Amino acid sequence: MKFKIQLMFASMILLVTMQAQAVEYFVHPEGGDIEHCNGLSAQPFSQDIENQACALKHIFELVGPEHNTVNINGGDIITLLNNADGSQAEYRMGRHDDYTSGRCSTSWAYDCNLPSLPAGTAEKPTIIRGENWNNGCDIAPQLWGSNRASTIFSLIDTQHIELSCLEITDHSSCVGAHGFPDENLICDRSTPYTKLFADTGIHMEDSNDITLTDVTVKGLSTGISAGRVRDITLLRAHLFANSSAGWNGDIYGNDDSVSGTILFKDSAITFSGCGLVYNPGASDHGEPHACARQDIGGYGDGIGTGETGGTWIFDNTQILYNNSDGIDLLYHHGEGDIIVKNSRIEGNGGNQVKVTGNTQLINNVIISNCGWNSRQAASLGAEGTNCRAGGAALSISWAHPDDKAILLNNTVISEGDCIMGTGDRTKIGAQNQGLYIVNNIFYGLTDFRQEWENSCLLYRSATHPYKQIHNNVIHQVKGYESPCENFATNIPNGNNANAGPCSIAAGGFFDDSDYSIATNPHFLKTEIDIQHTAYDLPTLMAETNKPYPQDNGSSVYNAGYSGHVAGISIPTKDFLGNTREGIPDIGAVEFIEGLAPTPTPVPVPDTIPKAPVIISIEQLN
Amino acid sequence: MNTLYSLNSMRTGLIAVAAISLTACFQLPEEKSDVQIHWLPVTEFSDGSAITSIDHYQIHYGHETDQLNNIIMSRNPNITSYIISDLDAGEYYFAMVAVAENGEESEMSQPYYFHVIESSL
Repeated sequence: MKFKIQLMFASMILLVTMQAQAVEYFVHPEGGDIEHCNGLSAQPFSQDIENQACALKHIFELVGPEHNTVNINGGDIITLLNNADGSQAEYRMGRHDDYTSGRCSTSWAYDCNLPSLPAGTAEKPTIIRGENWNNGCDIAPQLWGSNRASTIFSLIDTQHIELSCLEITDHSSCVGAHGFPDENLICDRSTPYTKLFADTGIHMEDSNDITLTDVTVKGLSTGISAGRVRDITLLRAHLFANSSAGWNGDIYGNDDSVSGTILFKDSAITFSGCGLVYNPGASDHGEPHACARQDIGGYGDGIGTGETGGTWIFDNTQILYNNSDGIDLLYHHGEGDIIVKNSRIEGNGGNQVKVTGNTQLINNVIISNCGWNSRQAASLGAEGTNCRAGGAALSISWAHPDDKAILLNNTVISEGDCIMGTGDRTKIGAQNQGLYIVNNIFYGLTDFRQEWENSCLLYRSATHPYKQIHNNVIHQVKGYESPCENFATNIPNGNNANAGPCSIAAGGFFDDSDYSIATNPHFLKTEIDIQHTAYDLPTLMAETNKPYPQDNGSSVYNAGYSGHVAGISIPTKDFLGNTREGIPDIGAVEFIEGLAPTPTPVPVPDTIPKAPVIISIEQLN
Repeated sequence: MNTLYSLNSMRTGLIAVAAISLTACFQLPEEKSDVQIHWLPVTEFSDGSAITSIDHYQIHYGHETDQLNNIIMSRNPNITSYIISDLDAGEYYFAMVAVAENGEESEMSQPYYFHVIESSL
């Protein structure tokens, strides 16, 4: 009896110890099946292997889709290895090879998805990671979906999960837009389900504490779909050329109830609403193509949601060339704030930033060259969206009493109908909502849809009852609502507070080299029709527009407000990470002597026009 | 004459009472005014030579002569007047700059003082 009790205790201790210790499993392209390998070694399978000490050949051996088999515990680690020579391993997902029964049967191959991963703990999350996860992740193992697999990762009713150093994609160039003119590019969703495309990269539902680090999701229909989630972190993640949306948070309509913090840090969402060419060896392999507007079945928000809440933070994140809105949090009616800082939002086909509720936009470069698609190669932009819903750079609404929208030190450029609009999303009326706009550059371009005029500064479908607006440079906007006269409001005393310069273009034109305009910020580079030599993120960032002041003759130089705004101090570092010293410049980027290239001297003219003579002024009403 | 004065005073008083009553009931928007500025076209460079064409005019205005921060750029070089809308009542200074097609710009004209009175609307 005593021996039996001792044995029972020993077993319990062993069990507790095993549960406390995370087990790391290895998957190798030359691994074996679970009958021959236990996955506890990184060695490829061979007949000489003893004690099954070899890697598994596929993640399906550990987490099997056919019969929802889960052979790992919460807190365990699966490490996917690259090929023996260090090149990228390509693991096929969906119905294929040995995985054809159960949920992977022919008739419903789209259900051949990884079962949800078991929950880890905050201290010991369940981890799926690629080789090099701790070494810069220069080559991430690839998981590519096929046979219309609906998802690659399904994280449903789970928590404390980490995915890192993975590339998630498919091997098809097709797009989801059912009305695309070139029918050969439309994903064939009919039986037999043998085509090499998949739908969603990562699906999250009723889950929390999910972290994606160095994860790329590209060329699918949707990068991430997520609803009823809490505390999601994307670190150095990239959602690239997913033909429906980068992040689709509209999976339940009115019950997406996101809470906690959704953080995008050092991440990117690019070319949503476009396909991705899969044609290895060809010059266009890996490039986005076939962007599709809504009336042919396309879409393409970088981020779009249904009714949602939570605190959304975008920090040093690039939201570029998505086919519809860049960030669409219009239905953010719940609790939590929206914070966008140190980020670039540019070239998206609708609004660049569309938000509702408490919002902080700080130190961002926001360029609504929303007609960018129209000026690109036909294979990329001919069927794409241009300035959807007018294409204003910013759409800012309130949902509750006391909501505050704070815009500090942004550089905002627009060829949309206006630079920004404000509204009352929930129709509750004016109840102490506040709009704070300080130290921003608002730069109007020729209106894409109405070429005879420039973008207007502000369209108000609702007016914030409290406004603090000053120290902004307003450059060549349309005269709508006489912005130069009516914009600055509640200017405080001291700290270099003033109304700021403002110019109106009375008639459409765009010439950012015209330094005769006193409001001209003297930008280094602003090309609304910028042509990139390639579309990978490093190339985009190297070639991107640089609306940064290039000399101390800029209207923004030492012209900013240095006090607090709605309790927030002026950011001590600028968009590029340089320190703001003394009186801050207006806009996202400080002019710092020696950092900017020396501008070409402006020749002193020999003759100048005589000054006009004002002969009379009359009051008309 | 006296009668006319009295009627006018009475009418003014009634309008004032009505306006006060309306103001009590509704938040009336601030009245804004429009002004039209007229200028002579520029036909010469400063050295007296004929100018071929003007590219555009700039109208600068503000409440102080050294803070003419509001700028309107008229891209039509052939106009000689422009309406500036929605000005609040108050003292303003207006000045102009002509810009030639080669980008050369004139000195700013002498500021022109104008007092916008409260709109009669």
